[in-house]
Amino acid sequence: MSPESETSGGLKTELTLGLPGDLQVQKSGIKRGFCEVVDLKLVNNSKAESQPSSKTQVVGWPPVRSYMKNLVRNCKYVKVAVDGAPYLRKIDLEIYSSYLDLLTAMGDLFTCLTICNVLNERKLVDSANGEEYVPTYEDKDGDWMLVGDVPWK
Amino acid sequence: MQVVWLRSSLALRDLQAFIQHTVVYCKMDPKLKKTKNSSSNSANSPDSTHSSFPFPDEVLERVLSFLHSHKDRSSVSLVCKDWYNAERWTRTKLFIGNCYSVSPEIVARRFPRIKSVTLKGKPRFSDFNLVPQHWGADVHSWLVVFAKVYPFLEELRLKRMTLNDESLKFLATSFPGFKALSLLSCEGFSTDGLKAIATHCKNLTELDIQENGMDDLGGGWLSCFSENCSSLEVLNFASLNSEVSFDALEKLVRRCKSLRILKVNKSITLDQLQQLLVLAPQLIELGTGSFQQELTPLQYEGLGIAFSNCKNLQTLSGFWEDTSLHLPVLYAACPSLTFLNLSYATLRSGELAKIVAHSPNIRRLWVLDTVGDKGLEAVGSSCPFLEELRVFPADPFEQDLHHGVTEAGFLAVSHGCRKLHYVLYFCRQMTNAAVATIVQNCPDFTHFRLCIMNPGERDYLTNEPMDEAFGAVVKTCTNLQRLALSGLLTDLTFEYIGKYAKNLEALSVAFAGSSDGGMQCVLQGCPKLRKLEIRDCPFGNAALLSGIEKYETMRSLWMSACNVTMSACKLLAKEMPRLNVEVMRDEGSDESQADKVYIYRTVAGPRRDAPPFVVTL
Repeated sequence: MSPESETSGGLKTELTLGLPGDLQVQKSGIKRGFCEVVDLKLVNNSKAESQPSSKTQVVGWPPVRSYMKNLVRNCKYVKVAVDGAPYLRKIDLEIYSSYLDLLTAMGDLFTCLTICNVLNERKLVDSANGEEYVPTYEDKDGDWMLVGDVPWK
Repeated sequence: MQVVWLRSSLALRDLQAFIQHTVVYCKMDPKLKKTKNSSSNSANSPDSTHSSFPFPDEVLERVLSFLHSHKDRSSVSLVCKDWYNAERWTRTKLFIGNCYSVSPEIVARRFPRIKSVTLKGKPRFSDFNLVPQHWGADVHSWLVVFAKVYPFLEELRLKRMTLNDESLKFLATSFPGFKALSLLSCEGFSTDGLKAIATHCKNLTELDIQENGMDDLGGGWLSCFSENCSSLEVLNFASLNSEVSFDALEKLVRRCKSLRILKVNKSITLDQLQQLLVLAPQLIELGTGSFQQELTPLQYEGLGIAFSNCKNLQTLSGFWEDTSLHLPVLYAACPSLTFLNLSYATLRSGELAKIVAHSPNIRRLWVLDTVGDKGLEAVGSSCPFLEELRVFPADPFEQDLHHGVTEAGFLAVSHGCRKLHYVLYFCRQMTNAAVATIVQNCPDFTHFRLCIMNPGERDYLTNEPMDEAFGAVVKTCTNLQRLALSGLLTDLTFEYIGKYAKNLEALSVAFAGSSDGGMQCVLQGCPKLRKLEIRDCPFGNAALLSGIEKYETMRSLWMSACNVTMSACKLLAKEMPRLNVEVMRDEGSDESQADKVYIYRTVAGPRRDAPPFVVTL
């Protein structure tokens, strides 16, 4: 694994993709349907000083032994995908204590979606176009299940 | 009168014995004093009783046998030829901090009576994947020589060495009296090699396997201990994942009445652990297995009783997986604990608070940053005798999370634990002011390793570089031996270090500095510097060459991803023949760049086992 270090005097292409309801779009106050999905940026980076950008992961940093990476941690990271979104997010189920918490967090991640409690069914609604999103998950048997039937624990 | 400088850490008892014997023999009748040989340094004037050494060799050897520290022995060996000889004949423990600084043949010629060997190999940055595979540090050539010269070898302790199963088998079968094997951060072997050790070493007292890059092919090795083996005192297989035969383990623990350190692996369940504790209440150090298991109330009670019966327990470690359910069973054992290693347990603040509340005598504490600042506050209020704190990151590579600890936690500990002298602290934010306060509270730091995880991070309140933080550390902590830097740092940090850190022996630098001047300050200002490791800093040839006289006084220098070129390295190598200057180039990089440079003093010349990607200049 080599570090994504800047090359000398070269052009660096930085692709940024947006999720529905990306923060920057919301702040502009302009009502949009689905926001710009693809935002292509070309950035000119000359050979920088030692500090890499905070987004790049550097080999051997932070200096933790690879042994520590094998930590058996009780944290459950799951991927969250929204239909039509160009990329997924990951959340740690361990830090939430209820389904409502989880839905709120998902609403935060996908900011155009707000929680709508209709007849005790928990859904996320896209405030822009009224489309409803229902949280589902794939269980270990490979079946798609509705979130919320099994007790949180 | 001979003058010998000894380290102040020499045990008082040893020193008293040394002085006592020396003084007694000085008072002896001069006619009884004779030198066995005439090869002492200043022996040539016949009537100068002060110049020839007045003690018979046996006396001197007896006296020197009180010396154990290799640094003291090194001082002693430099006094004169007599003392050099007496020392070499009485040394039984060998410590080699860099396996390439000397050769097995040279060692064998000098020391005829070695029983215990400690060997360290790869540069420390190999722990963080900065050294490619197959770099070297293979122990086999050492073992071959030892088998010839030290057939009665008893102990071997390896750190960052490479060894394969053949070597382990060779070790097991070449030394009939072999007793203790300790492998830390080594690689290249598998559990098959351990089988050989368990099978053939009939007098084994210690098997300590820690954090190695090894292949775990199964737990059958444990069953290879013979039923007659009852000598084990130390057994640590915590880092191996495969299931072992509990029956074999139980019988082994039952037989080995002198067992004082037992660290089991995850495959051992809680009720199995309880059975082991009942068999070995004399344990001083315990590493638990899996702490996650449904226990009946009766089992839970039994476990609590088992822990309370371990009256000598000083160290607890292990705690893989979520442990919060069963922590209370430990409380009875906590009051006697001096070292608590929770660095694999994802505890939250409340859970840690409860444990430390029961552990007032803790001297050393290792935790994960999941405990948060609140957990550390609890440490500050519950552990007044704390000397060492290590806080490891649970998620070192996740950059968006705002979990972990901050300067607040460190401050809280420093307020309550004034005896703190060793810290390793991973965090995502820090301020200069906090560090200044911390070292005011705890001026006795000998080891200060602060890792602000985002490279080049500023003081988050003032937006300034972190220079003043480390300046405060070196100004206040005059006994500082080891320092690791992080955050945005200019040359000012290094000026401070060069000016104030007069006892500094080891320095670790990453993503820091502004110019060659920085490194020069350190090389010129730190007289006791032995180990310097630098990565991703703007230090170039001028900096490298400014230390040309210094590197022979050091164990090693590592520089990677800096601005050093091959020509400077070649010059250094040419001027200093007793240094090995090794360069590794990254793929695709410029021919003239020396991407990774490893420089170390040696009496063995360039190494003959260097792989093709290591160029010795």
